[in-house]
Parts: sequence; C-alpha cells; structure tokens
Amino acid sequence: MARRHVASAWSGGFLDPVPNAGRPRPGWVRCLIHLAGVLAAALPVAAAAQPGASPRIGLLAFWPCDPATYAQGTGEFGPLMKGLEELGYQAGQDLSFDCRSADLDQDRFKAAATELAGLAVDVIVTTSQPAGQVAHEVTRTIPIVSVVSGDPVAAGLAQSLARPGGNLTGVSYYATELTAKRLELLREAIPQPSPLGVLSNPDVAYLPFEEDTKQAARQFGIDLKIHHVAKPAGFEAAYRQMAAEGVRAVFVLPDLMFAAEAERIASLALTHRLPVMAWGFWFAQLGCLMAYSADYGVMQHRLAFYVDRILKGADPGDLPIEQPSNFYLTVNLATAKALGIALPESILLLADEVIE
Amino acid sequence: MGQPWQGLHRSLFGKYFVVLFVAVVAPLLAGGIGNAWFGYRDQRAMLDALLQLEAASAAGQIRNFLDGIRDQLGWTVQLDWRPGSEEQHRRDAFRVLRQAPAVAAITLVDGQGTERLHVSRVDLNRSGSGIDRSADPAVSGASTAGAWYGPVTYSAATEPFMVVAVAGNRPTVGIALADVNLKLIRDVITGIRIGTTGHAFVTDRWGRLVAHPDISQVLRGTDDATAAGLRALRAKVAAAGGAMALQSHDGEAVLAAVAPIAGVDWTVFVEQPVAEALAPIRAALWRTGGLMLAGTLLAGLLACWPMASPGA
Repeated sequence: MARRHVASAWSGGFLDPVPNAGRPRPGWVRCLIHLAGVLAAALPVAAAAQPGASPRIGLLAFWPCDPATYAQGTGEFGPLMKGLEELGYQAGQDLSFDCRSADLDQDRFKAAATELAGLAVDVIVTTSQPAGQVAHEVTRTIPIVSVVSGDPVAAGLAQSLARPGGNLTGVSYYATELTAKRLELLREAIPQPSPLGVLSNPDVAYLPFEEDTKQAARQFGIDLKIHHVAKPAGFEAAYRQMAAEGVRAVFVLPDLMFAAEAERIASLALTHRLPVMAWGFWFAQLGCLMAYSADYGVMQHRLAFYVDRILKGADPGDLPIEQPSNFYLTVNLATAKALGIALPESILLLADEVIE
Repeated sequence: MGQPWQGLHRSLFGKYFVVLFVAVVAPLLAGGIGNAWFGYRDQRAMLDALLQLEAASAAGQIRNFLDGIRDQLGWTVQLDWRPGSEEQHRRDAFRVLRQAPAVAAITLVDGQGTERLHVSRVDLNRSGSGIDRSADPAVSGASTAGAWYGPVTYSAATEPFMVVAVAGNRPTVGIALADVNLKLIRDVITGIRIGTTGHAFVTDRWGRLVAHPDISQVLRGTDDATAAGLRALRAKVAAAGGAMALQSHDGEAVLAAVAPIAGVDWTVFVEQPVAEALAPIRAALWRTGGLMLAGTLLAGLLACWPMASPGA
C-alpha cells in the first residue's frame, strides 16, 4: 500500500516511474542510462568520422635517401623537415614520408618519380630543377613543390610566377641570374682571373649558364677556358688541362652531379693550387675559395611552407613561385691563406660565412 | 482513495514547485541575463581598445622596420664626393648591404644628381656610370624632405619592392637610394599575433597588399576588385572609430581595427576571428546557462522531496 502511494506521489511530478513490477527506477536515472547508451553508440561513430591516414609526402631525392639524417635537420631534405616541424607537424605522427632516389644519376629521376606517383602520395617535394622537371613530366595531378632554376614559364612548368596554374610550384634560387654576379665577386677577390677555367656539365645545357658566363666574361674582359665534365671521372683530366692552360682560377657552373662531387672538385683545386668560385655554400666548406647563391636554408624552409599549404587544401596553381630575397656568400679564409691570396676587405665585409 | 488525495497533492506539489522554482530560478535567470548583457558590452569595449592598441603597435613595428633602413642608409650620405672618395663610399654601401638584408641594391648619386655608384646583391655593380638621376622623384623628394618613400612596385609582377631615398645634412654628400625587398617585412608581420588566431596585414594607399602572414597573397598580386574592397574596408573601420565586426576580404567573420603608418601612407589591418574574440563572452553565457539548468534541477528535486514522506 505504502509503496503504491509513493509510486503515485512520484507520478504527480515530472519524475515518472517505470511502468512494470519491481523497484520503480526514478525517471532521471533512466534518462542517464539512456544518455550513456547514446554516448556509447556515438563514440565509435565520432571515431570513424576522424580524418583518415596521415598525409604522405613523396621525396624525390638526388642523393641516396637517408631519413635518419633528414630527421636531424641535415641532408637533402633536412631543412624541409625542420621547417615542417616548426609549422607544427610531428614526423611519424602527423606525416609519413616516402623517399625515392635517383642515386646520383640524373637519368634515374624518371624511374624514381614514376614510383612515387604510383604510391599516390599527397605531394612530391624535390630540391632541384631537373628533378622537378621530371616529376612534372610524370604527373600533372599530384602537387609538386620544387626548387626551380632559370625561367619556369619558358620551361613550361608554370603559366606565370604569380599564378603557376598547374600542379607545380615552389621557389627559384636564381641559379642562372647570379652567374654574372659570381664572376664579379671572383674578380673582386682575384683582380686578374684571366684566363679563367670553367667547369660545366653538358647535361644541363638547356639552362643558359654557359651563355651567361660568356656574356659576363666579355664585359669584364676575361678569357674563358670552358671544360665539359659529364661524369665524376672527368674532373681529373679537366683540372690537368686547366693547369696546362695556365688558368688563374676556376668557375664552377651549377649542376647536380657537380654538387655531389664538391669534395673532389675542392681537393683537386687545392692540389693544383687554384681558387674556385662555386655556387653552393658546401663547396666553400669543403675547401673552395668562395661560393655565392640564394640562401639554401631559407629556400628549403619555404618549401615546407608550400607543403603545409597544399596539405591544408591549397591548389598548387594558386601558390606563387617565390624569388629569393636572401643571399649567402661563403668565403674560406683557410684556403685563401693556403693559396697565398690576400682577400680584400670588401669581400670579407660582404661574406655571410667566413670559414677559418 | 487515490483521486482526491492525488488532486490535493497535485496542487500542493504544484504550489511548492512553482514557489521554489520561481524563488530559485527567477533571480538566477535575471542575474544571468543581466550578467551576460553587461558582460558582453564590457568585453566588447575592452576588445575594441585592445585591437586598436594592437593595430597601433603593429603600425609602430612596421614603421621601425622602415626607419631602420633609413637609418642604415644615412651612413652612406655623410662624406663628400671628392676625387678618390669612391672607395670609401663603396665600403659604406657594402656595409649597409651587410647590416640591412632587406636592401637589395643601393645607388649613390652626388650633389648634382649624377649616379656615382650602384651596388646590388643580384645585378652587377656600376661605378662612375654618369647616369643622370636628377629628374628622379626619389632624388628631388629626398633633397627636400630628407627621406623619401616610393610607391610599392611589383618586380616580375609578383615581388613587392619599394625605393627608399635618404639625403644627408648637406648637398655635397648626395643622396642614397635603396631598393628595398618588402618580402622581408614578413618577419615583422608574422611576429604580430593577435590572440591565437588573429593576424595583421598591411595595404598601401591603393588597397594593394604589401605584407601578409601568408606571403602568397601578396605575391599573387591584389586584383582591382580586392583592392577596392580593402579600400572600402579601411574607410569603414576608420570611420567607426574603433574595432568593427565585419567580413574580412577572405570572407571570415572578424573583429578588425586599422592604424595608419605615417610617412608611407600604408594602413595596418588587425583582425581577430569573431569566434576567438567573443569566446570569453560565449563561455560566460554557457556557464550561466549551465547554472540555470542546475538551479532548475535543484528546484525540481526540492519540490519533490516533501512528497516522499506523506506516502508512508
């Protein structure tokens, strides 16, 4: 009797009893149980609604792939990794990388790029013009972020710098634009560099390095001795010939194979006691006298910015190709001393890195 | 037996419920709504003031960037152009290139407006070229005002540059003209953070983007429609006298404030997404709502509690 009265008392309010025998559960408890059930059902749905696998970045490398070095911030893609870290990505958690290399042979870029395209990566990153060009030949749909040389519009890689329009974007490093400037800097360091030996790789003859060098040399009244080297084995012979020609200095034109052979180029130069002007800072670090180019660290950092934008959904055709604004002059004082060259103060003033 | 008792308890329960509910919830409601309303007004006023301060601070930082370049250039216009002084001037110009990475090239003209020296990071240097620059507005501008800031030009239709010209304290030292790469304002602009999602950007007098944390918006070039839109935005916000809620040129709902940058006729826009700006207010509203809900439940429970005993 008492129970039923309690039940009816509850029924007058907004707390309804369970209409069955046994202990009447208060309405609010039932409500909580319902809620718990709904949440339990909703959670797997919410989990399933999470974004799928983390984005995959394809690295098209010239040097052999070395993920351990990249993770430390050095190597071909080290600055890219560092840049991505600074933008908030954790390698391994937020991103995964697939690296395919041409193993120091430009002819193998095509196979490596085709493999990457087949892996359906979300973006392909390269650090050189030849690699970017091959990637562009292989795929017109996967976004490509690359370092470009020369005129990307003339090369058919983009419609304009402000709006590339296709699937390729990236940064220029003024490889060709700085040729005359490098010659001028060499002249500043060594007042009479004539005759001047020039190392050039005929594989990149489609870029106007030689033409620009000849033009600048005409302006400065320098006599050029151009030597074509297509394989690493050719450097010894080239240097012997240059020594025989009595060159006063060596001018190295940009090329991937040359970049990989920097140590050989530098040590041969020291053997023949020749000052060398190259483009990448590592040349000077390895013993060449000077190097001048756009700042590689800044450039590769910018590549990370492009990757970030593309992963967030930007269309590569809408991302302008950037020109370099930071430049880097490296000077090796130890080499200067060894060669008996007294560098003028103006060069030391302009230098961004002086190696002792 | 049940009917009259139920009727009685219903009205008793009802009365208890209504009285307790009103006694608890009504003041809660009144207090909550009043709090929310006045809180919103206070918060908005504070936000306005904060955004205006941020805009003024951002304008100051950009101004510092330009002043830094002007000051560095000042070192190159201290010595007369005498025969034999070329080397000293060249040295001074190189030192500016060292100290000011944003300067891409420096041209030194003498007291007659003739170019005597040009040094650059990219193109070849020139010495004693004899080019007559006396008709250049930069030269005449700097001679009269001491410093002259040119319009923003876009090299290769994409990279923003501007000419800064500086004169010395006497005509014989000539004028220094610098090509300034404005992409290097990037560090200043990205360093300006408004809350966690707000940002600042700069437009010139025609509404074209000069600096933006997303540099590609600058490099892409500002089309006429966007530039006109930014000019209109600038006028609207300036007229409002404080921060304004509006649609940014990206289509986001933001609170925006503007500040002019003296000397170059640029404008700094400071924007914070409305979601973040009003987050504290919304949090307060949720809190009040939660409290009211809890108060209602409590009132209900209190109303039911006296009913448990009469049944025994």
